[in-house]
Amino acid sequence: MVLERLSLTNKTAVVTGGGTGLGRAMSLALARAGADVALAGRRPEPLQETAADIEQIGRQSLTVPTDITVPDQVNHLIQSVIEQWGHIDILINNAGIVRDQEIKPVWEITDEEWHRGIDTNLSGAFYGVRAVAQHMAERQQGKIINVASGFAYRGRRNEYMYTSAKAAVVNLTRSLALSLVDYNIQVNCIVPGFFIVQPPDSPVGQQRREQQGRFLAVGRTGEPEEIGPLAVFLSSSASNHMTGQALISDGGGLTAGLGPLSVAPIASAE
Amino acid sequence: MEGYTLEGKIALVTGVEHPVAQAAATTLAEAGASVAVLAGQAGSAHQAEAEQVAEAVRQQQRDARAYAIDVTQVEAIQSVIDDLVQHWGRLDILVNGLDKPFAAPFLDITEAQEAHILAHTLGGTLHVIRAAARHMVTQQHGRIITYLSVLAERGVANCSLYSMTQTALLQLTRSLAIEWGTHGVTVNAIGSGWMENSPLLPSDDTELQRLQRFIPNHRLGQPDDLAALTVYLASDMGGNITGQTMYIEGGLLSHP
Repeated sequence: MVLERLSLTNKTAVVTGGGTGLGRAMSLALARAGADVALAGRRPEPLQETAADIEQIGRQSLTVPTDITVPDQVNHLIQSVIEQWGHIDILINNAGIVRDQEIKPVWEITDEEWHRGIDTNLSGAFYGVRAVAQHMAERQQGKIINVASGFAYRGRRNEYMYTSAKAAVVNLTRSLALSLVDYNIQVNCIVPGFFIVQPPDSPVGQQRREQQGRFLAVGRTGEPEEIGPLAVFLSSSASNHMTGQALISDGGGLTAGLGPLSVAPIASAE
Repeated sequence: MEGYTLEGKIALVTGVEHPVAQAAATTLAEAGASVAVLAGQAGSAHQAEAEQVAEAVRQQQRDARAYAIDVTQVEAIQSVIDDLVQHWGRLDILVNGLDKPFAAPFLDITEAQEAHILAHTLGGTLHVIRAAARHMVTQQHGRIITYLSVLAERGVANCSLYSMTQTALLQLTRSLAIEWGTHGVTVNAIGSGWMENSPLLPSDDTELQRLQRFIPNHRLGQPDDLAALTVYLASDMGGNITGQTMYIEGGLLSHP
């Protein structure tokens, strides 16, 4: 039976940025599929909240406050999970910052801002893989999921670090896939388009859903829980022949985009 | 498994003479769907082949129907869709598995071969989609998933005509996704690499081993490889994905 292979019973996962948004949704989906999930992130409160929900599901959880831009902290994250649980089967590199800079021309971006943007959205994922890959290689099994963004494939005005870093994450995924394939480690990438993480009943959540949803082919933004089953698939043995892929969930956003409406007028062939 | 349920959904899988389409049919049933299966050629042998897949669906305690028609005949396609919608009242999921693996030097391809490949793979898929999507757009819900090959992305000698059909299906996927985006109908494709039992594999053992060494995952694709992702894209949770082609190809496309 094919769908039984989606089970994550006896698997352990590490999810960076696991306390909020897509990271939280993926962590809960993994737990419901049977995995124990360690959550890393900068702020302890959201990690603890999500950890409590994972325990509610009946799985174990760990919280490890981590700044993924600091290699020592990422090494510590991986080491402490291995010490506690004995092994790591799944790493989801989800932490990142969508927009932490003010909008300004390229000549005003400081060295510090450039490095912070690249470190948060690219180096953090690299540090995570570097810390866990040898452990996975020794066990001859592992699943790594990077999280990029639709902006990996498109430019954005006055945005430099995020778009560059996310494009690099997609190609890092391909190189890691080729490099780790002989250790039975699959490396893939989830590419979310517009997902609104604020609840639909909050004023900000409502406003953003309406504003951004209008421009998408499906007429709405994504909901974090829709990513859950995809993360489960990529974490499970059902995806063992898939590696190096970037899976885009964006309501048709990247497929469209050749005009403001993406509709051509009806024209006869005669 | 959470998010992988198709309870109460009605599915049609075409091209069930091919193992990937057979695996799709039984896995959609495993997830809870009733499944109609269609072989792309007419005749009692093909009907028997389709019946066998339908039987595998019924073994999952799901309702099934079997058809074998010449998919180059538009009327035959229409009567299949009419029949299954009359029987079940709706159509939620279409998995397009029509395929005619074909390889020949471009200068040697006859007009008859050309016409047949285009009419079967492209014409057949196009006409099944049109007939099925009429119902999906009306009911404001549908999932269309087309199986294609990595040849949609890369060139291979002797595969000019075949790879052209695959890219055509990929582009059809993109435009239809946009056209039906606000009608609740998503349109996606899943691409495979070198598959077990493919007639396009090298017949020589040494060549076959060379090919397997070249594939990063060092194995040929198996029919089940595409099935779980098919269920996700077909499910209610798959509604934010449209216009995409996702490859399950053992890492081939990451290769230089």
